[in-house]
Amino acid sequence: MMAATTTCTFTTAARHVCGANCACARASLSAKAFTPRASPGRAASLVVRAADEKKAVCVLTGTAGVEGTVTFTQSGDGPTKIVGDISGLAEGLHGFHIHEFGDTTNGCMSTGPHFNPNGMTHGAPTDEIRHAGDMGNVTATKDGCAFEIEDAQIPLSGANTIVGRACVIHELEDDLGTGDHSEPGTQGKTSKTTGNAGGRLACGVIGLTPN
Amino acid sequence: MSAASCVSRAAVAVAPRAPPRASSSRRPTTRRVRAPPPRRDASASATESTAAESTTAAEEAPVARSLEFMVEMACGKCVAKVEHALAHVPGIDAVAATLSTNSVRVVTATASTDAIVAAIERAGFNCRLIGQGDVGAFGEELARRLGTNLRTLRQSLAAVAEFKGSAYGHGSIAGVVRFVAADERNTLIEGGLRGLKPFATYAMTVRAYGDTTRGLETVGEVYDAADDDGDDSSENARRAAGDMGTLVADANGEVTIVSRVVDARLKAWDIIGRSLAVVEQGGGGGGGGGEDGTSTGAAAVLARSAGVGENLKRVCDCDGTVIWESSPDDFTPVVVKKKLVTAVVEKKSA
Repeated sequence: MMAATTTCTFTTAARHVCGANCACARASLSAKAFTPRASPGRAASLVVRAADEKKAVCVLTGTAGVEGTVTFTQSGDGPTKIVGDISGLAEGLHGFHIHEFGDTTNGCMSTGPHFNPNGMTHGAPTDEIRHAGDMGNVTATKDGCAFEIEDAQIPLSGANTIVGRACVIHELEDDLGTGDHSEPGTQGKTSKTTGNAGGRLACGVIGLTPN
Repeated sequence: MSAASCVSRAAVAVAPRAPPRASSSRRPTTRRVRAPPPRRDASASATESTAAESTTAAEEAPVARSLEFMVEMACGKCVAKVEHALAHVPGIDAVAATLSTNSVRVVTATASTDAIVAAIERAGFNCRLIGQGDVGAFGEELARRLGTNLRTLRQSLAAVAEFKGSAYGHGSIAGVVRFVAADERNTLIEGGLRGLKPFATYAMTVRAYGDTTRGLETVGEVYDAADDDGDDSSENARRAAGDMGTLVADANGEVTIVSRVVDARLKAWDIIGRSLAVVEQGGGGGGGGGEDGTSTGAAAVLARSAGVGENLKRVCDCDGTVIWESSPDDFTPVVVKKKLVTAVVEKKSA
């Protein structure tokens, strides 16, 4: 067990970041030489499992009856799986993005731009040139909007973690960076930064959940 | 590591909830303190030998933090006016206004954010807090130790918990509580809440999770962490790091949290993504409503918030909203309000 704990702490510590609920945050009591963020010995039995899987959730609340829940799951260093269920959306496609900050004290402004650690322009989730926070579009039908996305650029710990940032669901379809970008800074003509997805219908902060 | 720095660190660890007092001079009173990198393997004996002394001297001098405001300035005259207005706010150590970005940076230990905003608004300018925490004081070395990179670390210096009323499952409770890393050692808290039960006592805790799908039910236990030194003895063992003591509401059901240092075990970069809970003591803590309509508790996710200079976004590209038009209620349902208005109108016409 000791050996397993040590190994686990070492490997996860390399990925551990800022508030992430990875294994080392909970189980590094025996390895305080590396990280001090230990939770006193409560979860020794969770060590191995916690190292494998990280989870987060975002409760979306909106201005026009739009609300929902989006969960994030990441195994090891693999891609993050998003499972979402949003109600109150008009039928059709809606842009779905992760912003740099989860702070909404100044509305959209305090959430900053789309999460963009690599300094790219706006694009489709499948593009090489895209913001890491560009999740593309989700489809709403008359029955609601349930979706699953898998993405490799939105880890739940380490450098570029999305924990604590905001999810935003938009009024319109995201043009994925292929639309009008003739007037940067102007509503509706900023394809390369916003995808021209229109106003923001709902927003929430990505929070840690038990593994 | 010098003995003096050990004393300071021990003082924070031993009595983190003691209110700062200006009379103590164990650390510089106004300037940022760059703590030496914590070392887990050494200094234990030095800490212990000075711990007793530190307990009595635990009233830390207020620790300064950097704040950044967006202020609607149009010319050099405006800049001068803003600087002049801030010169009259007590406790401000430094002011730097930049016209091109419409930003004003302030360094202060004792002036409240509200007082600064009020002073600028009184001078005739729109003003919003847009950043907290001096990103320049946090470098690659700390980022590496935390297993992250510099960019993410510099986005991890400030956390904000927004209580937004019933639409967010917060019942009657509304307001904002902010955390900011003043330096590697000191994390500060400041904020205000309203909609509490008048004169009631509320426990304030950082909770382990930021899952608010079922409010207080899903945010987990009180967050805990070991000290930088791995010191889990004495006071720290008895009290979880996330236990922040109590708040007492005034006659209006409001509370103001004056900027102060929190438990040294609480770091902004560790609590982002977790949540902040306020629960009335003896109130059951279920988050339900009291007889007078006030709530007995609520939890809000601790969101990542911008450091100074990290977010100068003035206009929303998606819908053209300018920062002065924004508010914390931008994501609060208006439909509910409209329905209420309609109901009232119908009632009147009937």
